[in-house]
This record gives sequence, structure tokens and C-alpha cells, in this order.
Amino acid sequence: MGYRFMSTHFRIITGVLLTALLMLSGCSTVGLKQSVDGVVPLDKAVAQVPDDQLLDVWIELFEPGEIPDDPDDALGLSMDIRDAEARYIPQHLRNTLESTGYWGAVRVVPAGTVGGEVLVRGRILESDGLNLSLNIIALDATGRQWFDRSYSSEISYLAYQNSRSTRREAFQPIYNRIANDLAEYRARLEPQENRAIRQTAELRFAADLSPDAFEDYLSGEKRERYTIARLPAEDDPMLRRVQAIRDRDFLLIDTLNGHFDNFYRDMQQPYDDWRRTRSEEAHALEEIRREANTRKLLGFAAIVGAVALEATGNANGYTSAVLRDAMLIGGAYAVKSGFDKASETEIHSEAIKELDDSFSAEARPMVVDVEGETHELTGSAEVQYTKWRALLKRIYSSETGLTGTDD
Amino acid sequence: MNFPCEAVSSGHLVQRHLRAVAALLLPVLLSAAGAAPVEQATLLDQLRTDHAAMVSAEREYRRLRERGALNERETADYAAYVARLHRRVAEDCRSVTAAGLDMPDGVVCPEFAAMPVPADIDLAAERTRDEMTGELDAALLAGLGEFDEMLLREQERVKASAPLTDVTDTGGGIAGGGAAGGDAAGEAVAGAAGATGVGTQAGDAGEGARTSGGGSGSSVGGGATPPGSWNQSGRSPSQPDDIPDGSDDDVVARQLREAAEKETDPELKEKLWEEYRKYKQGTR
Repeated sequence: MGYRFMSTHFRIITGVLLTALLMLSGCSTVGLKQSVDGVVPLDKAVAQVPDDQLLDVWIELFEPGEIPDDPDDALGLSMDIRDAEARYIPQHLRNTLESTGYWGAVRVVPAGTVGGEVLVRGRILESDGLNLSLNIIALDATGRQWFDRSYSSEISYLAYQNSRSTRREAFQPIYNRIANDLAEYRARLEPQENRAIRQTAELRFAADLSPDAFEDYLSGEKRERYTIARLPAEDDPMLRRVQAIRDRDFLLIDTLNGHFDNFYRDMQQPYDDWRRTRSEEAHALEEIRREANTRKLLGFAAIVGAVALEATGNANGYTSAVLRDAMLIGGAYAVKSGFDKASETEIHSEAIKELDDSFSAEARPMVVDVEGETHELTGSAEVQYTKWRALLKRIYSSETGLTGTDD
Repeated sequence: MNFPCEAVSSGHLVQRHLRAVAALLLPVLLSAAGAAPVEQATLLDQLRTDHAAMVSAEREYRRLRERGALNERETADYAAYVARLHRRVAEDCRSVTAAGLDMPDGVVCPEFAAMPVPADIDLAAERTRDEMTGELDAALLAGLGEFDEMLLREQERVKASAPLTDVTDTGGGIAGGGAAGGDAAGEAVAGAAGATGVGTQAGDAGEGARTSGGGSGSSVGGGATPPGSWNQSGRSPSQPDDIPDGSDDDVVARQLREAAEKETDPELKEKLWEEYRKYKQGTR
């Protein structure tokens, strides 16, 4: 008896502990897809990471993904909103990564920017205020893929009330989980691997600017994986020139990030307001649909019951006849009230559409502005880089007497 | 009878010639007269712009140095940029003086009277490979300087258009990296990143690439000798040994020399001397 009592207790304690552990970890992993729920503590560096071990992270502007095919799921969603989110989400991820202390400079960059040490690419799979799903690919300068995972999270509309009072992002657990996964992979790297990543990033940038001088320093399999074949001397004059240009490249990216950050800060309030109000409306819509369906179901059940009562001949007595009629009338009324209730969904659907239209109209010019700034800046930079490439080619030729490869 | 007639006819011929010459010359003269003020205005504008950029960059450099916000590499880079601007202003001054224009208000240039005029030699044919590389390097540096200026202007624009939010900025710099640092952490109030052991690091990252934990903190105003004081040999006490006496300095070199001699910040001083050396090498 005592043993059985102990055993039961043990099972209960184990169950409670397991549940607690699951809640603490805040996620369940199924293959490469993670469902992120509950609290996910952000893993932060407990000691300062040595300067030579810091890796810079570049987060590309996300791909906006597609609006769902199902009209109910796509209700009110628009590509204008997605385009805004494709800029907002990487910026918030950047802020999260920066606050961990594990990384050097964390920057958001336009897709295809050359020279990053760790590159994060993202795609929005789903985003409607209550659900967020992202696909994240992380890789380093050597071309090694760290991971390719999808993260999804579903929150209650009440989460926005909390996030408003605490000024916390409602989907923060998803950002924390991505940051933790990146930190976990980074922790596995040996110091020499870290160094190789940094050197490869620098050489890739150098080879892009001056292929004549630097292409031979790297060997790569179809330019997907890069290994260092040899290193230039520290006082190599060509390397110093390229480093001077790279410093400007960092400054350019910093300047771009100034624009991205302004966009993020401009977007923050309207985006939060839209998500909160939309979630409340979506919740109300769902509640009404559920209630309408319940009423219809109960009504149909009552009608079916009345018909069954009649059919079985059990409704001959006065009481039974009253019951049958009551069920019939009550059922019909319930069905009608179910349909009436369902018509209320129109109001909320319209409200959601209006909200989305209004937010789209607010976000669109902001996106156009930041896109314009980005194109203008990267366009001028590209003109300048073309000149520098030509100059470096002539300098290399003048210094070595070699003519180099033709462009 | 014939004579007057010939005289008349020859007079007509001269007049016709004069008219033809005048017709040919007039557009040229008119365009020259129109172009000159435009060129002059451009020269003055260029000088004003470069001078303003130099003053602004120098002020910003000193401010950042005093705050210890620049690491060693950034200090050298920034000082080189300021020194380049000094050189550009000096070159602008020379152009403005050569055009016989008065200096704009607020722009101080040295006296240019009786400066030696360089001999007309075909330098291109005389260049060695090193000199050619040096010239290309100078072109690269000039391009970098222009790019810096463009970015500086852009950063000013970014700063000016930054929204006024109540979110604490932990990063500083233009990126405003820590704008939502506290939010992002998910566990702390906004801007609390600085309160943790790693906050500084994250904040520093906002300053620019790979600047975490940076900042040389080297002192400003290292030169103990007051600017302009000279020792008995006639050489400025802080003047490097390889700097010539300056008797053959032209306008630009003299301005760079004066700027370097007066400079108290050791890093900027060195960069100004470096710019002086480069300039002298280029004019040799």
C-alpha cells in the first residue's frame, strides 16, 4: 500500500516536473519546425566576449512571403503590411541579438550585401497579429549553414494588453528563441573557426573589390563554400586599401541602419495598435462564429428531437405534444438566432478590413520612403565602388606590373 | 578719282572684316564673360563648403576624442579625414586667390603674396612607378574623403529625421542600435541593457562595426608646447625630424604646415604632417 502510494506520488511529481520543464523551455521542437510558446528567457553573455571572438551579424531584410489562399485567413491582410513587416521584424531581431552581448555589430542589410560574417535570412510564413511564423536560415562567411528552421507562435489577443503595459513585443519569445539558437551554434565554434569566418568575410569582400589581387586567397566549391588558401601579409598595401574601403562599407551599412531604425521606430506604435485592435476584432469574430454555430446546432438538435418524438409516436399525450411543439419552436428560434448572430460577424469582418486598409495606407508611404532612401544610398555607393574597383585594378597593375584579368 | 573710290572700297572691306571678326569673337567673348562669374561662384562655394565641412569635422573629432568615444583605428581614420579636409581647403584657397577673388567671410587662408610659381615641366613623362601608384592612391583617398562627406551628410539627415520616441537609446551613434534594447531583451525595462554586464558591449556595437569594448581613451592635447612657439633652431618643438624647413613651401603646403604646427591633438597633428609629406612628395 505504502509502495503504491509512493509510486503514485512519484508519478505525479514526475508529471508536474515534466510539465514545468516544458513550460520553462517554452517550446516544443518537431523536426526543423519549432512551436514557440510561453516564456523563453533570452540567453545573454555572462562575461564580455573577447574582441577577437566577436562575429558581426548581418540580417537581410526579410522576404515578405505570401498572403494565405484561404479568404478567411487572408481577411484584410495585404502585401503592403507584409512589406512593412519584412523590414520591421529583422530590425527587432537585430535589437534582440544586440542585447545578448554575444555578437559584434548586428546590422540589417539589403539582400545580397557582400562581406558579412554571420548572415541571417528570413521569410515571413504567416503573420496576422495572433500568429507569427518565420523561416530562418543562418550561415557564416565560409558558406556553412548553421541552421534552417521555422518558428511559429500563437498568442492570445490579451498578450497585447500585457505588451502595452510592459512595452514588450508580444512575439518576443520567438525572437528570443532565434537569438538563443544562434548563440548556441556560436558557442560550438572553436576560436580558430571564429577567426576563419572573420578572415573569410574580409577576403570575400576584398576579392569582390579587387579580384586580381585577392581571388587566389580563397578556394571555393562553386562559390558556395569558401576556404582560405593563403593569407595576405598584414602590411599588404592592397589589403590596407581594401580595409579602408571596408570601413566605409561598414559606415554605409550603419547609415542605412539609421534609416531602418527610424522606420522601425515610426512603425512601432501604429503596428502595435493595428495588431492589438485586429486581434481583438478577430477574437470577437471567432467568439460570435462559435456562439452562432452553437445556437444553430442546438436549434437543429431540438428540431430533430421534435421530429423524432413525433415519428416514434411518443408525442400523443398532452405533455409530450407540448414538449414537441416547444422543442420545434425553440429549435427554430435557436436556429434563427444562430443565423442572426452569424450576421454580426459581418460587422467585425468589415472592421478588420477597415483596420487593415487604414494600416496599409499608413505603412505604405513609410515603406516607400525607406525603400527610396535605401536605393538612393546603395545606388550612390555602387557608383563609388565601381570607381574604386577600377582604381584598385590600376593600382594593382602599377604596383606589380601585372595587367590582371579583364572585367 | 580712283583713289577715293578705292579708299572707300578698301574701307568697306576693312569694316566687313571687322564685322566678321566681331561676329566670330562675340559669342566667345560673351560666353567667357558669362562663364567667369559662374566659375568664380563655384570656386567660392566650394571653398565655403569645404571650410564648413572641415570646421564641423574637426569639432566633432575633438568632441569624440574628449569623450574617449573613438578607438585607436577610428581616431587615426578620423584624423586622416580631417587632415585631408585641411588640404582641400588649402587647395581651394589657392584657387580662389589665383582667380583674384576675395576670401569669403569667416574663411581664414594664409597670405599668398610672392609665392614661387612651379616650373612648367611635363611631370607625367617623368613619373616612376611608385609615383604613379602614389597618384592613384591619392585619387583613392580623395574618393574615400568624398564618400565620407556624403555619409556624414546622410547621417545628419538620418539624425534630423529620427522620430522623437520615449524609447531609451542605449547605442548612441547614428544607428540608434539600442532603441528597443530593453524591449528586445524581453525581461528588462527599456534601456536597461546598460545595467547588465554585457550592456556596454551591446551599446558599443551601435557605434559602428567592431567597436565593442573599443575606445583607446588616449588623452587630448598631448602637446605641452603652446601653439606657435619655436625653439632656437627655428624648428617647431613638435615638428618631426623629416619635415624640411619649409622655405620652398607653396600655399597649400604652408597652410598644412601651419595647421600641423598649431595642432595640439597628437593624432591629428601626425595626420596633418602626413598630409603635408604626401603633398610635398606630390609637388616634387
